[in-house]
Amino acid sequence: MRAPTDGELVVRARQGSRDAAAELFARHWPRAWRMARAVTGRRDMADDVAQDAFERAFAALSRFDERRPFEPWLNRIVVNRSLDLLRSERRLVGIDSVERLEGEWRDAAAEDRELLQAVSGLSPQRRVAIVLRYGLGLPPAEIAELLGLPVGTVHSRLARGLDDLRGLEKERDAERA
Amino acid sequence: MPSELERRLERVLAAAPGPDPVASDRARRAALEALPSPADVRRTRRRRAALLVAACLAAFVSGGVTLAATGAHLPVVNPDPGPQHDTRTGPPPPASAGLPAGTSIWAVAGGRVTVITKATPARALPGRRITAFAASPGSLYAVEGRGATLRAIETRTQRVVWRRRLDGRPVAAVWSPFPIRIAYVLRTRAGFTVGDLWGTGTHRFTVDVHAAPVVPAWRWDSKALAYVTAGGAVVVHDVIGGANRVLPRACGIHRPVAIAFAPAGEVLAVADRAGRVALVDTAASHAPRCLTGPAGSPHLAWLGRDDLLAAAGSSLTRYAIAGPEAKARTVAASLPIAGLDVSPDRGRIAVLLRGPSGATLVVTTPPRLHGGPPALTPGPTLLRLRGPAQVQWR
Repeated sequence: MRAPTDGELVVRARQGSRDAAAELFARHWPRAWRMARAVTGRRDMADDVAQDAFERAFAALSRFDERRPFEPWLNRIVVNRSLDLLRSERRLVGIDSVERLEGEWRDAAAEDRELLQAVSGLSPQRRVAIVLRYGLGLPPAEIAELLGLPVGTVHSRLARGLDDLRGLEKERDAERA
Repeated sequence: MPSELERRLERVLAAAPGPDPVASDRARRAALEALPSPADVRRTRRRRAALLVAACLAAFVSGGVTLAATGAHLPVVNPDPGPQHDTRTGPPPPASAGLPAGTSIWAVAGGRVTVITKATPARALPGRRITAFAASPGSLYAVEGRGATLRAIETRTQRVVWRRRLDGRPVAAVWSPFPIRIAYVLRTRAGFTVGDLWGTGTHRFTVDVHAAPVVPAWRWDSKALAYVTAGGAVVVHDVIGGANRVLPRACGIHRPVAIAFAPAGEVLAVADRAGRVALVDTAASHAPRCLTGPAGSPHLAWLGRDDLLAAAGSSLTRYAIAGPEAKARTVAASLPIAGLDVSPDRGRIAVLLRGPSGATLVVTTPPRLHGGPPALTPGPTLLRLRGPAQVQWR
């Protein structure tokens, strides 16, 4: 049997089907959470932001045009809420997040942990671009749309982010040598 | 082709841990709670259909009126202006003129609400110790803040429709132009919080916990509201997508104390106590227009999309902003102006004048841009109030 599309689930959720809404949530929650995590850089903030985004999206479901794809609409809400929270709290990722990161990835190989630490230490603008591109696989055009930036700016942030990471790796290699 | 570093990033980031099951479950329950009931959805659709019909009807009627008024020749855009005549304001109404049928003036003072309609000169509502009040467009419902509660009443029957406990004391509330949402300001231990909720009392969202005690302003389409942060920044909050846009500070205004969206378009008027008024087009990035009027605690009200009233001290200034140069005319009031609102048809204004023993509510016509008396011509006194007062005309 064919699985219902997002649009069909939206229509059923609007008609009062909590099962349809729950299915919609189950489909999109993990990715929405990862996106919130990518932008905020913190698990606890990602929990709040992704939840808030889903509440807003579901509350506004009656105004959503089901002929349009659900995921980009939700992603836009997630990113906007994440950026708002960061701006309002002025709590862009600091050293505490690096410590948390170490805890989360304690089982990862040492090289991978170093790479994640390096990503976490990037400037927020570059980190967000890098994580959305390589962690969530979004093409630059989609990142640009989500962040409300020109595509060229996204390409530039990606390139500079990669340069920063390469530079950090070189420094580490030099220290070891 | 991806480099070695890019491949490593993809592998490492993809292996990142996902959301915590407890947080996921909590979010799932909260999201399902936020779903509108099918009845809400039906109501929203009916309202949309009614609005569409009303808009079509209005377009049809205004088209007919335009054709009739122009001898069936539609006016061209930007015609030769010729001599300027202000046709909006006529002579003041006779003292016996009542309110237009179907409209109500709501005055709040000393924790009590009084309503005046064409049929009822002045009727006090039963509630006391009211700290925030807003009548819905059309005055079918009103929302009252008392203690740490916001409650909605049906104005005709005074029946309480819903009651919502909040995290602080409501100090301001505003219905959106399409009466589907309510913005409010709460006084909390930490300061002031701006929030919004649906007209049904559900779907409450906190917009900003570091706000200033300035009454928020709704955009005409009810999809965005503007508010002032504790730091004095003006923010436009998209209530659908949740995005916030901080407007750049304009015209030297660092502490806005009044904001008002134009009744059409996306221009926001921002005023401070020094008499500065900034007109910021929130949809465009071009420079704001700066107006200067008398100093004092400002009250803003729009007569039309290019026609703004700003009251401050004992002065009322009308700004016509349609052309590149704003035209302004200031008239004097007999007493300091403590409140101002425009009738729903935008033809008259309600003014609260503050005297030594309280406020007086009068209804009059807006000052003319050209000619007319140099002082505000108040109509009959409708009400006398004690203590700080506010006025709303719905």
